[in-house]
Amino acid sequence: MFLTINDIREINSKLTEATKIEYTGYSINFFRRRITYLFEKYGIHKVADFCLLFANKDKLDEIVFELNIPSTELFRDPAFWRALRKNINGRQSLTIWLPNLTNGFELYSLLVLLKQMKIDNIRVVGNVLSELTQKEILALNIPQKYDEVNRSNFERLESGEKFDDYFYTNDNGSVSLMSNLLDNVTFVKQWFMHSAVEKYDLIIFRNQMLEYGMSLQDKVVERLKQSLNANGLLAFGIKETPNLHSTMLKPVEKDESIYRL
Amino acid sequence: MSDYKAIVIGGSAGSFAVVLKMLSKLRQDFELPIIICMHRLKHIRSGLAENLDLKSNMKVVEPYDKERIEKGKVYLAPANYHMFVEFDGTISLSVEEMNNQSRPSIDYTLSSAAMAYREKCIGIILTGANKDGAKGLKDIADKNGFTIVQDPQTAEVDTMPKAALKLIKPNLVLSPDGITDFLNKLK
Repeated sequence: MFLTINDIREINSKLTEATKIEYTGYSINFFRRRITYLFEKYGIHKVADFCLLFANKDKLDEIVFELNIPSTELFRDPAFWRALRKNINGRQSLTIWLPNLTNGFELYSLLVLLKQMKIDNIRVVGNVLSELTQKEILALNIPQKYDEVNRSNFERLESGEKFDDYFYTNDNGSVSLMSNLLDNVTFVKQWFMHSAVEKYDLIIFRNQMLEYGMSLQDKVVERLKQSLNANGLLAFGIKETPNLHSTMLKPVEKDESIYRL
Repeated sequence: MSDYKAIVIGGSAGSFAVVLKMLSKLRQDFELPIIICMHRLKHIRSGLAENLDLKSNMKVVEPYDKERIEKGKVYLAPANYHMFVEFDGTISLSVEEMNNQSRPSIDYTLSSAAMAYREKCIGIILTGANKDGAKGLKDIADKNGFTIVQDPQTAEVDTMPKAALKLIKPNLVLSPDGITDFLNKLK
């Protein structure tokens, strides 16, 4: 089924109204792909029928979950994590914000890195958009299909430690994160743009801007900047180019898209 | 002025050598943007575009998200990102789920180019070890774009060109040298 621009506009306007998440600012083609996928998944052929689903709380949560692209693997771009390690080395404490957790991969990767660095005085806040996402993260489970890439990325951290020091293997071949690593994590089920402004030493927001149009990108950059402590670090995905000209953010690791205020 | 707006190429196993040779033999003033999606190792971020750039008369880049597509440039899909052609003449990237066990997915790149350029697109499928790209090439054919499949007999691995030939009757089936000659004759 081909959704027209008008179909897409109608859906994202109604979905924005139902969720208070600014889907109207998302990239049109990205949004079209995801909605097309959901039409196929639900066997729906009419825009009106799709919009009727928004009245069902569980279905709406599922739609939001499906629209939020999951991180692809643990320690995606190991060079990023090595660069981050270098730039937070020596810190005794850290406050960290993950404004849009889409699954457990970014959070688990961060928690393992902090544990390796023996930075115990941490506070991590992770925003989630759906109950399903939070449930998935709290399950701590990673399906077997990711095992090879996850272990390989872990090796590329060059930490000298073992993957199995932080994850245990289940009978079905999946692995689980050691649960005590989640001790200092707080979850907030709210679109991060609506969260009260708090200050953090580090904000990780990788590969999320890919889904946004330029106007929403600008608003997001401003919002993230407001939440950085002096000398705080902000990380985007390595192929993202948000407009930082008016922000005072300076690259500290240009290839890894890590910026400092 | 060419009748076409861009050339979109997909390939997998064995295609790097083919692309390298093609780019090195394109004429100096070749202007049509070339958008390439090749299956590649996800953890190796550098080297591929740089190597192609060394041998090519055109500038080869791995684009950033929302980068504008320009004449005289070659765009290579970055490792571990899907690459799409947008209606506004830019490239967008995505970390969406793998398609045909691939990220970047050739189908995604070719299908988006079909939508954006319609009959003004040339789609080419090269050697490769899975069927990714066949559907994308069909989308280009369905929009009356021009389609070329590498002759399976000249392919290091013929799964990809054969999958494309199963779905469509392309405008041309050519050897790598034949494809280069064809491109060099474009105005």
